Amino acid sequence: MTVPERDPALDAAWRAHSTELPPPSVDAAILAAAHREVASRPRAAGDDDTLAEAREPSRWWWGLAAAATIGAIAFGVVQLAPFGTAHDPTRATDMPSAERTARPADVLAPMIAEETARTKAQGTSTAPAAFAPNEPRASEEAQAARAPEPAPAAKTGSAPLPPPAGTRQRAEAPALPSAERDAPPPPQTPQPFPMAAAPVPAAPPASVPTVKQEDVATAAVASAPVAERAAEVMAKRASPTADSALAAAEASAEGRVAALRTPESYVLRIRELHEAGRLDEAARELVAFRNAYPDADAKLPPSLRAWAATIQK
Amino acid sequence: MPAQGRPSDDTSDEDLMLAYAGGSAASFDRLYARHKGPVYRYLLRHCGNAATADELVQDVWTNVIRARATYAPTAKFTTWLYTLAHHRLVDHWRVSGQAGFVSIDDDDDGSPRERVHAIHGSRIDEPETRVASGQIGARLVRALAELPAAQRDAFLLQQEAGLSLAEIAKLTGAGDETVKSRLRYATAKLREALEDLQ
Repeated sequence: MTVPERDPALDAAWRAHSTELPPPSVDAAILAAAHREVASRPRAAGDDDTLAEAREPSRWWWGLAAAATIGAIAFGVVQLAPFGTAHDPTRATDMPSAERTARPADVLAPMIAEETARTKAQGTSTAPAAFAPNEPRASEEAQAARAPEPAPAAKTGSAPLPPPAGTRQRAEAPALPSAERDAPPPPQTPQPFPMAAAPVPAAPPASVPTVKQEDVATAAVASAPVAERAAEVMAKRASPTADSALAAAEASAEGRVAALRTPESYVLRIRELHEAGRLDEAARELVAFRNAYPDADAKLPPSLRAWAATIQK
Repeated sequence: MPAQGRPSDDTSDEDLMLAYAGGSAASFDRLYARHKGPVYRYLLRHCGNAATADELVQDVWTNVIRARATYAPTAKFTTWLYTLAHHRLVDHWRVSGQAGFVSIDDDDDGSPRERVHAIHGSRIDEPETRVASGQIGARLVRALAELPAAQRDAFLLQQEAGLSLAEIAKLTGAGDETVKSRLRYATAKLREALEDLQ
């Protein structure tokens, strides 16, 4: 096909004078529509760099947004999780709470009060003030005492849960002698403080039937020399006869009372008796002091040492 | 080829359109820069109204954008582009009640019909037709407006779109000889309009 003859002059004149262009607003609208169309659809491989760079900023903060979302969810889950289980008295746990173990004086206070009441009932002349539960000295002494294992669940003012039945049976079952296993169990005295029934590693020999668990727990509070003495007393209880067991029990009670007294209480009591002229009672108190503390004479004040030297050891 | 709007790079229109179909917006930018002027002038010379030309040119390019996913380089991109423009112009005339290319086609005798002037006669007095500077531009625009639509269309497709005779024939659906005749008559008419100035 032949091309129709073209007039170069006409072509040049037309090109020179036909120069209109679409307005910029039309250009912008068309280009925007084209870019929107491309941006709203998935790209093929080999995209231009401009679009790749335009997408780049959205990539790096996607990770941050995901991390922030996960963190917010985790925080929400933590907030919704059960909290304060250590303060829930209905929840049983084998782990002693920090609150329970951090206040040994409170734990020992009921034990001391019980021992004091028992001593009074036995007619033993002791200084009640020295065993006041809230007395600071007593608390310090109780903390100093080497307790092998803190007694669980004995907060003052709280309603303690009764110990499991199996616990008491386990603690008492080995104490039954073989000859008395078939006999009915001896009557047990009411135990106002269930924590006293907790098992203690320093348990007496298995053949003593009259040893109560609370006695064992009280003895565990004693200091080291007193504990040794208590061990001797307990060893005496190992006698199979009932008389020797009763005597051992009485001795044990005295030993426990002596063990719970501080040297200062002995000195204070001896001084009071000595100044009051009750020298016999002062002498008995000195003997008890010496039994509890081998270095009792050294702890006496100089004013009493001369008198104490006259007391036979 | 179009006289204006062509970028310097030698990437073909078809490759740019394929790249745009693949997601490259920059390819469309280049493609639009190449053809925005000629397409706009093609529509403006036909309708003679800048506002209408703005609307039509947006429609044409919107069709290009929408058709990008189905575009296949089976033909020259320019042919495809001006086919869209041509169809859009026919639709415009059909909606507005104007004769367009339908009834003024093929005046083999070379004499323009009177109704051509009736349809477009007042266009030379409109502001957009006074864009061409100087007497030559004004006379050319006026002479082109007086041409039958088919002859004007063939002339614009040749001058603005840069299409060959065969491509014009294919686009308009006319025969090659018909297109050749239209171009011949259009050129003669425009040359007459410039005779006294040369």
